[in-house]
Amino acid sequence: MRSSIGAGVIAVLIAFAGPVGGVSAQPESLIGAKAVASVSYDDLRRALLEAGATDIRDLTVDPKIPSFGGVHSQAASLQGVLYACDVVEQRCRGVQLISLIPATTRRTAQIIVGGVERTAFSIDARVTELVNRPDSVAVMLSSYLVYDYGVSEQLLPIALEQFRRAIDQTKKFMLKDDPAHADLWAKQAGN
Amino acid sequence: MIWRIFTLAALLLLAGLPHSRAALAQTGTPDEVSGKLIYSIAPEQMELLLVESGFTALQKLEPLRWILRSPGGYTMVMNFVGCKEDRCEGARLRAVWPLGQRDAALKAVRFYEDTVAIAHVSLQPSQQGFYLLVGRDIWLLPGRTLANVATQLEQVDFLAGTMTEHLVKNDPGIAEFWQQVQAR
Repeated sequence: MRSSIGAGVIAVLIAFAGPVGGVSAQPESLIGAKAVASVSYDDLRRALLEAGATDIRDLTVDPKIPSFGGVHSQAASLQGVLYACDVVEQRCRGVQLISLIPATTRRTAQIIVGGVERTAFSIDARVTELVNRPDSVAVMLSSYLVYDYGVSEQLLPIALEQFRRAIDQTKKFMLKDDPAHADLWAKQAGN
Repeated sequence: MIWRIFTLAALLLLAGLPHSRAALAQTGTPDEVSGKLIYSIAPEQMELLLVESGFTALQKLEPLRWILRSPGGYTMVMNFVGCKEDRCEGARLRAVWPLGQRDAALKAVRFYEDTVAIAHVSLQPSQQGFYLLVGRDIWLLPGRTLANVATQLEQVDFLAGTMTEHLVKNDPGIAEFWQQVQAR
C-alpha cells in the first residue's frame, strides 16, 4: 500500500516549514578535509572524549552494534552507537549519537520534544522511559550520521559539537519550563 | 507475543539494511569514497540528483519547498535549509501519512521509532488527529559526496516503504482509512 496524498496531507505539507536551527556556516575551515567512508571504534571514543564527555565506557551489548558512552553534563548522557560495521576492521558506516535527559513529567518531556522537532535540524527527539527507572521519563535526543560513499572526516566532531549544543539548549528549555528539573538532575547525578 | 518478537528482530535489522540497498545503485562499494566532497548544493543540482535517483517533482510550492514522488511511489516534501544566494547547506526530506486517532497505528509508529535508528519520525497534531512524518535531514556543510547524498535519498524511500508495511501489518484497516482520506 503506497501513501496517498489527499487535501489534508497537502495542508500538512504546506504547513511543514523546514527549520534551520543547528545549521551554521563555516565552510572555509572545512574545505580540504579528508574524505572517509567509515568511522573506527577509536574515532568515536576519541570524538566523545574531545567533546568533553566523562566516564566513557564500552556499552556494547551486541558485538555487531558497538557502543561507547559517558556523561555529558549533570544527569545528561552522551552515547555513540555504531551501525553497518566490519567487526574485524572495527570500522562502521553509520553512527547514532544519543543523549538521555531525565524529565520531571511526561507532559514536560512531550512539550520539549515538540519544540526540538520543530526547531532542530538533523536532530530527532522523543519521549522515553529510563531503563532502570520504569516510573521516570526522559527526553531522548538522537542524530544518525551516514558515511556511505564518503563524507568529511570532520563530520563526526562537528556533528558532536552541534549535538552537545542541542543538549545544552534542551536542558535550558527544560529548566525554564519546570525549575524542578534542577533538583531532579542533582539527585540523579548523585546516584 | 511471538509475532512481536519476530517484528522486533526484523526491525532491528533495518538499521543496517538501507546501506545494503543503496549500494546496489552506486558504482564502487559504500565503504569506499566515491567522488569529491561538496559543502552545499544548488536546488537545480539537487533536482538533477533526485531525477537520477528516480524521484519525480509533483509541485514546487515555493522555490525551496517541493512536493515529490519517490521511486517507491510515496509522496514526500523536501525543504531546503541554510540557503544563501543560490546554494543551500542542507535539505529535509519527509514522507507524510494521515493517521487520524488510530491507536494501533500510533502504537506501531512508537515501536518503529524506538527500533529504526536511522529514521527521523515525528507526529504532527491536526484537527483530524495526527499526521506522521518520516525521513532524514541531509546536512551537507561538513562535506559529503554526491553519492552519499543520493544514498540518503534512497534511504528515505526505503524507510517510507518499511513504515508503510509496518503500519498495514499492525493496523489492517489503515489502508481503507487512507483511501477515505484521499476521497475526501
